[in-house]
Amino acid sequence: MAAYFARRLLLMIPTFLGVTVIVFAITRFVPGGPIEQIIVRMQMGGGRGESAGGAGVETSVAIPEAVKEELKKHFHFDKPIWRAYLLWLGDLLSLNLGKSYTYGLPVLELIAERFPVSIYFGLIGYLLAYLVCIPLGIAKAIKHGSAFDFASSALVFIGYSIPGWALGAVLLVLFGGGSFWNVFPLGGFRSASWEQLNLFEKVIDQLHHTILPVFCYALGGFATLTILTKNSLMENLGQDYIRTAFAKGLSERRVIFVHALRNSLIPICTGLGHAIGLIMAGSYLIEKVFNIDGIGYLGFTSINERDFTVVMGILVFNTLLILLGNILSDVLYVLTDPRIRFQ
Amino acid sequence: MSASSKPLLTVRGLKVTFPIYGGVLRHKIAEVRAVDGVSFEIRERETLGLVGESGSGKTTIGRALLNLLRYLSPEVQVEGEVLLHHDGRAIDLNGLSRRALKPLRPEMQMIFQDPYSSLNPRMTVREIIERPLRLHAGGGRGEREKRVFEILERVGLQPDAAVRFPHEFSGGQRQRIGIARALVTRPRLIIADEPVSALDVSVRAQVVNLMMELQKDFGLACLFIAHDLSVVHHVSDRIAVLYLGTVVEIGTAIQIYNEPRHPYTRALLAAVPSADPKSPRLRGFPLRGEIPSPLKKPSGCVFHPRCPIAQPACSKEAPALVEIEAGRQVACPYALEFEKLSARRD
Amino acid sequence: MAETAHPSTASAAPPLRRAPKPLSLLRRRWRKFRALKRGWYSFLILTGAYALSFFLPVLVNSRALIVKCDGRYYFPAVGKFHEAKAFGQRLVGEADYRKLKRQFEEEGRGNWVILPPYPYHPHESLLTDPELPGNPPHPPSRRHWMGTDDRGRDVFARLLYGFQISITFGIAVVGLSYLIGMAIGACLGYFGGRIDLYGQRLVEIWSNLPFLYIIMIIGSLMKPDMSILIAILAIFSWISISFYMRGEFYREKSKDYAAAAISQGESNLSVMFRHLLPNGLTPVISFAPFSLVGAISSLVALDFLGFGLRPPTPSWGELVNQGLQNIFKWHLVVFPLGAMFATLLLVVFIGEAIREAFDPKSHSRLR
Repeated sequence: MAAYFARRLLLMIPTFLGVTVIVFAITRFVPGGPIEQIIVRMQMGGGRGESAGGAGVETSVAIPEAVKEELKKHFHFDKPIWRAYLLWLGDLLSLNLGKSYTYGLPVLELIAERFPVSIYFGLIGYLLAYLVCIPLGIAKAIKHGSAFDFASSALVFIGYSIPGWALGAVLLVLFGGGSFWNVFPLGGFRSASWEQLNLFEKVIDQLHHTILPVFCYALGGFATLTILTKNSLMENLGQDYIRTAFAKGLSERRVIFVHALRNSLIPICTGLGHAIGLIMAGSYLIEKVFNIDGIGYLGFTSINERDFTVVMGILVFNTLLILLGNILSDVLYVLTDPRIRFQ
Repeated sequence: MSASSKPLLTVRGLKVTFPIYGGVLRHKIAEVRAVDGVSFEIRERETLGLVGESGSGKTTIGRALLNLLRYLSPEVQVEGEVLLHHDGRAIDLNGLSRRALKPLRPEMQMIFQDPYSSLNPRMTVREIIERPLRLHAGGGRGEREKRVFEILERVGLQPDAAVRFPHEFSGGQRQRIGIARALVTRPRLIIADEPVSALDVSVRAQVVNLMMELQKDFGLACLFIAHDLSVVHHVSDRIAVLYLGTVVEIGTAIQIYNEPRHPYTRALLAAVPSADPKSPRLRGFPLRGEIPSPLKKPSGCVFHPRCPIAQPACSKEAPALVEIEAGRQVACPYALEFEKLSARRD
Repeated sequence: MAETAHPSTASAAPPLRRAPKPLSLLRRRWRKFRALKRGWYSFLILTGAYALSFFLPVLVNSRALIVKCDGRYYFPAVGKFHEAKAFGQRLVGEADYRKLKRQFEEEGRGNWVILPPYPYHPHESLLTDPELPGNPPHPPSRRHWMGTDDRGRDVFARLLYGFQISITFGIAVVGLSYLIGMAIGACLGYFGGRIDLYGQRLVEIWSNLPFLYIIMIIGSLMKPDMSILIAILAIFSWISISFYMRGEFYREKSKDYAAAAISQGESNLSVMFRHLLPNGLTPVISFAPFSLVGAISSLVALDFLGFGLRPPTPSWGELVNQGLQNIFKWHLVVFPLGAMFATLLLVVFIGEAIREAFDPKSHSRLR
């Protein structure tokens, strides 16, 4: 088992290197890279220019060659790609992710500031999904084939066919005060007037901003989680040990909730580790829909702004989260399932 | 049983080694020698029975002879010589390239244990039987069709079986299809890997009789692999007894069945149920314990931990096969003193 | 059939074709699928709609189907481009057939125009259309059932063309990614040994990539066209099917019929494709619809973020993005997402039925 986890940890290294090399290379070889972006910005007088939206950046105003050289040096564009990558990697190992040129702040600081926002919505959403799906899945398994089972299956089908962010867009149109009802704010993490609110108002405000995005995150896992719970429980209920438990006279309640459920929840438990990766993936879309200034939105804007120090920083962060999530899943597996002995 | 004395297949020092991976980097940490220096000979038109418990390496030997292991589990190492006597030459099949092996494939075919997994469920019976002909025999469509129906009739199936799928047949019928597939290319050697042990007892005799009849008619040699002696002594001219990857005794069927010499052979024979209470086989003794894991093979004679007549020397040196009478070899220096030694033990 | 050796029948006669004809596994499963009504009707609706979408140029188009002008017939919808001057219109570039229709009717010279049932093209900007006052996006109206988008293009037309593009795109992504995944999984499972050992590690590395983020980066930098976007998505989505294929090949290879095929002298390719693949197709067929759901929603998501297909390709996601920029334009959000939802729901119904038909034992069904 120790060997297994040691191998998983060791495997993180090539995975990590592979991911960063691929993306580093992409950012180098495509036009519209950081230098062009900065040049455009300088020409526009330092304001937040329109994102160039692709290739073909005009350089009509003369930028002194010396400045260009300076920029190239700063981004290591004057060196071959492998050296630039190694320099970037060296900085990374000393926890220096570089500085964003759009925000003028260290990337690490930007991420640290936004991560709690992203994880706040994502984690609440996933917890909500677990809270709804596990009881629902259990109920569906116990009443398999009943009217309740069929009716809730309709929900599951619908949930599977709507991506969370798409539901978010529809909810925003319906409840965001556009053409229909004005129930919820148009998004964001908190109101702009947050600092002036008293504690009670703060709670209400936060809730007000939380409900819709959290609902979208929860929808993301709703269908699969419910079905996983139901099928896993049904599979266990068909096993011989359950028949034995019934045969020795235990109550149905005890058989289902103590004997069967414990085994059925193993696959659901282990899924928690992967939730981090899913939250991150969902955040790119849901944060864009709700204008939430989290990691996903930061990544989105940075890509559009060609702010590659931030892009690479988020990539590093995202990949590390996925890798750690995988290991967490394995750990949970070992903790919940006494049969598992990884080799 | 009209065996000649001309050799068809000679196996010398066959060794099959499986690696075991583990550790942080999943490297090879140990190996298992499933077959450890097995030598025997199959003569033309004879049946050699190969008997051993599960884990003795008998199936592995069958697959090694057909050069299957290399493709089924490439990490396995096969050493030794497998000489096929072909057109007056002896060709070493082991290590032959796939291309060089292909023309020899029709000479040796296999009948498998499990009649359910040995037929491709997506092919009709006709496709299953015709496939080897397409690969080897040449000839036109009509010629192939003729041969398919000929062989179907020979194994006792109706012609309309040809358009059916394997799942429509019973186990015994499936095994007949498997036999038809093996025989359609007119091989000289059949390797039958426990061909009846998965069948209902009521059907076994029919299939065994069919095989013996076909063997005679087609002039086949056969390596008949089985886990006990009950069927083998009936079909075989000679029998080799396998224990933990080594041959412990080899002799004619009559010698082995009537007068087993190696202690393990005696035990195997004792395990054969008999309707006759006065049968001499009951003089044997029941085996103690389980066959050891090939991972932790005993030192010296691999049988010594379970042997009723084990001597101190047995755990030190592995005994070689020694000819003790015409046509019989035994790998036990104390085989002839069995009664004396086991009596003393009591 | 009884378990007895049959007395020899007429030797080597061709088989009697007796009813009922034996059914292959695939046929039996197909029958079962057809018996599952919800999935089967969804399949008919979806394939019907997709087939119909290839006739969109004559159903939803700004070009006329037939123009009769001064005794000559023209077929602009399926034929070539006609200058406005050819019909006596004072316009630069292509003729405006809706205007032409009114013009001919007013002239009353026996010239006429037959327009498609819905006479608007998805790329056509209606900013200069006198019947659409005000700034785009326009709300739904009798002429423009779902309104127009921010460049004055008809939403309904874009929605329908977007349907065809979405399905085509999804099928292409699933097809290509399954091709990659099946090839890789089959090789790992079949060859085993070191290839499998190292291959699995590489697949594991690949599976840990944050796909959406990387595709966003590539999409923003390359502005890919459809085929490149298909390739990019396929390159990042073959993993799961390769796992299944590896498992199938590994399992099937261990069965004796594979050993029989090898002992007959079949080549590796022949064993893999002729013998093992038909037996390992169950996960491919039963997962494909769900992968299609994933591929279509990925396309909509990427278009929504602005990293998808190049403008002016009609795209559901792009409409949603426009709609969210202006919260009062609900029709830009609700209609395209409704279309996506309906499409995906049909695919899910199909997938559910296929899974039940192919894999009746497994508890992995949605119901």
